[in-house]
Amino acid sequence: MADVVLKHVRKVYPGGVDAVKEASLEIADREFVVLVGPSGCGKSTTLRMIAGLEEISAGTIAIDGRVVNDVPPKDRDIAMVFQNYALYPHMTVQENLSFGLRLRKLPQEQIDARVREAAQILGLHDLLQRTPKALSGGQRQRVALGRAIVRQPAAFLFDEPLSNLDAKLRVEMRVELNKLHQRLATTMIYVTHDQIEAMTLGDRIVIMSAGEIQQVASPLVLYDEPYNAFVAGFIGTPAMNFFEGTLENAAQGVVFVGGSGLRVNLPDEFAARLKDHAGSAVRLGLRPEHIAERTSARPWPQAASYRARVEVVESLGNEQLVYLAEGPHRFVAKVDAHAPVAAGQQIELLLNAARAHVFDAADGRNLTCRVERHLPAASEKAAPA
Amino acid sequence: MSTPSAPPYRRPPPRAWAFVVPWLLGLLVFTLYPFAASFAYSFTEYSVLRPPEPVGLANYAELSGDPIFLRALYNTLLFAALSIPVGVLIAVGLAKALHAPIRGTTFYRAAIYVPHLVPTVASAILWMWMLNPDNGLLTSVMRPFLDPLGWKAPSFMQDDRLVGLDFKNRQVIFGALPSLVLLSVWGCGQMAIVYLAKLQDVPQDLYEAARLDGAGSWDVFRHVELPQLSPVILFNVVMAIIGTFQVFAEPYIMTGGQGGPNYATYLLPMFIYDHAFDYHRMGYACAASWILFGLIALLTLIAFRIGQRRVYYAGA
Ligand SMILES: Nc1ncnc2c1ncn2[C@@H]1O[C@H](COP(=O)(O)OP(=O)(O)OP(=O)(O)O)[C@@H](O)[C@H]1O
Ligand SMILES: [Mg+2]
Repeated sequence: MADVVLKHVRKVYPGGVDAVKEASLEIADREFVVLVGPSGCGKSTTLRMIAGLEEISAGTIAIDGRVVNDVPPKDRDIAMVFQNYALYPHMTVQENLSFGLRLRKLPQEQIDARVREAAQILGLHDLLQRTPKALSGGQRQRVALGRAIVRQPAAFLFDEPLSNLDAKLRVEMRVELNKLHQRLATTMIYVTHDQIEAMTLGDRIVIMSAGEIQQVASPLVLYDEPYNAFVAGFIGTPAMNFFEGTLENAAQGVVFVGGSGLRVNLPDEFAARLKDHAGSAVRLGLRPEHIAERTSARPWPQAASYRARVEVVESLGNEQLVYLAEGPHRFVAKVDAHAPVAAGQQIELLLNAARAHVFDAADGRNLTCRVERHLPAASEKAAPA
Repeated sequence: MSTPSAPPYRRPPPRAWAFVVPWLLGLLVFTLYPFAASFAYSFTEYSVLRPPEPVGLANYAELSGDPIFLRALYNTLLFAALSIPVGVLIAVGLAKALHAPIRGTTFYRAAIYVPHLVPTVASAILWMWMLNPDNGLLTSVMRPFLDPLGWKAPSFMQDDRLVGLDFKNRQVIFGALPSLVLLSVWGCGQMAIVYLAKLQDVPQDLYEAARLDGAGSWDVFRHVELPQLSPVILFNVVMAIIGTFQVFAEPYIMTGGQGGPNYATYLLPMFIYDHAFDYHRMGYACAASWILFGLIALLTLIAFRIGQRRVYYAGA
C-alpha cells in the first residue's frame, strides 16, 4: 500500500537521449494508473526509474512518503512484471514464484503459504512443477504476475505485460488484471501503448509524448476534454478529425470558418475564451461519432450542416465508417449502420457543434478544454473502503 | 520453436557417389582400418619387424602389473583432475570479468584468445623459457618477493613434487606436473570467449527481475548466469576430457621426450609412443591405447550422466 510521487523527474541517457524531459505525477494509494503514449515517448523509462532500474537524472521519486532516488530496487517494496515475462528458465513455476522470498530469507511455511495463495488466485496449481518452456504465453504471464503477487509489494509496476499475447487472451487477461486490482487493492502503475488497455484498466491515464506528460485524467475526461491536439488525436479510434481554419466574431457568437463552405457556430459557453482568438489560425476537432448523415442523424441541439463527397464506406455491422472529402478537408464520420451512403455520392451531413474542440494551430492547446492539465486522483478511490 | 518438416526423401543420382567416395576411402584407410587393426594387435606381440603373434590377453595382463604404465595412468588422471576444473573455473572467471562494462574489452578478449592461436610446439618452448628456474620469467617475477625472506623460487619442470612449501630447503614447491597444468590453463581463453558469448546472450530483463527479487551479485551468478552457462560448461568438460587424455607434445618437448623428472610428467600417450616406436612393442602399445580409449569413453559417459541432471538446456 503506497502512494508514488514524481517531482520534476528527468532522465537523460548516457549519450544524450533526453528520454524523459520533465514528469511530475502524484499516484494515490490503491490507484491504477496507466502510462500511455507512442513508441519511444519515455513510458518505460519513467516506470524503470520508479522501479530503480534506471538512475534518475534530476528530480525526486517518493514511494510511501520516502524518497527512493538512492534506494536499490530490491528495497523499494515494488514488484515488476516484464513484457517478456523474464521467468528464470531453469526453475520450475514453484521455484520461480518463491525465488524472491527465499532470497529474503522468509520462513519456509510462510513462503509455501504465499505461493499457494498466488497459485490459487491465478489458477497455477497444476503447473507448479513445470518449467517455463512447458507453458503457453498466457500461463507464463500468469506466473510472472504470481511472482509479483507473492512479494506482497506496496506497488506493482507493469511494462506492456500483455503485448506478447494474442488478441483474445489479451482481453481475458485485461479482465483478470482488473479483478486482481480490486482484490489486492494495491497501487498499480501500468505501461502500454494500447489505448484500449489504457481506457479499460486505468483509474487515471497519463498520456506521454516526446518525454513529456501531455495530460493526466480519468479515461472519460481524457476522451471528452483533451488538453491539446496530441491527446485529442491519440485517444479514440478512428482518430478525431481536424479541420484547418480561422475564428470569426459574428452576430450569433464565435464562428469557425474552414473554407469550402464549412462554418460552425461554436457554443456560447466558449465565446468569452475564443473572442480574443478571432482571426488567428485554429484547428477544429470533431470526433467521427459527432458527424452524422442528415437523414439518419439523432437530433443534436446545436448542429452545423455540411456537404461532402463520400470516398470510401466501411461497414462494421453495427455502424459505418464513412471517409469523406471536401475541398482541403479529409475526415471520417461514424454513421448509422443503415444510413444511405455510397462511395462517390455527395451527402448532407450534420456536425455536432456542442462537442467540437478548438485547438490553437500554433501550439496545439485546446482552447475549449474545461479541465486542468493534471487532475488529481478521484478522492473516493483514494480513501480506504 | 517449430521443427521444420523434412523435405521428402529423393534417391541421390549415381554421380553423387563421386563426391562421397574419396572421403569414405580416407575414413576407411586412415581411421576405421587403424582403429580395427589396433584392437586386433592389442592381442598380439608385434615388433613391426616380424609378423604379429597372437598372445591373447597377455598384453592387458602385463599392463595391469607394469609400474610405469600405472604411473602414467595415475599422472594422466591427476593431470586431468587438475587442469579441467581449474581451466573451467578460470575461464568462467575471465568471462565474468570481461562481461563487466569496462574499457578496452576488445583488447582483453583478443589477449586471452591469442594463446589458443600459438602452435603447440612454440608454446611449449616458450614455457620452457618462462619456467626456467635460473633466469625464467616466472622466477624473475617471484625473486623480489622471495629473496628478502630467504626463500627459493620453484624449480618447475625440474621438480617431481606437486605444490607446497619445502621448509627444510626453504623453497616454494611448484613441480613439473602442476607446470603442465599451468601451460594447459594458459590456453583456456578460447573457452572463456565461448562463455562470454553465452553470458552476453542472457536476456537483460532476467538480470533486472533478479535485482528486483533481491538477488546480490553472487545470487545472480549462481541462479541466472550459471544455469545459462551450464550446457556450454558440460560441452567444454567433455571436450577437455578427450583433449587432456591425449596431451603429448607439450610434456614430450619440455622434458626432451623423457616425461621426467622421475616420471613426474610421463603421461599415457608418451607411454604408448615409447612402446610403439622406441621399444617396438606395437601390440603392447595398442593394448594401452585401448585402455586409454576405454577411460575416455567412461569418463565422457559419466560427464553426460551428471550433465543430464544438472544442465539446463534452453529451447529444445
Ligand atoms: N538504455 C538506453 N540508452 C539510451 N537511450 C535509451 C535507452 N533506453 C531508451 N532510450 C531512448 O529513450 C527514449 C524513450 O525510451 P522508452 O523505452 O522509455 O520508450 P517507450 O515509451 O517505453 O517506448 P515503447 O512503447 O517502444 O516501449 C527512446 O528514444 C529510446 O530510444
Ligand atoms: Mg517501452
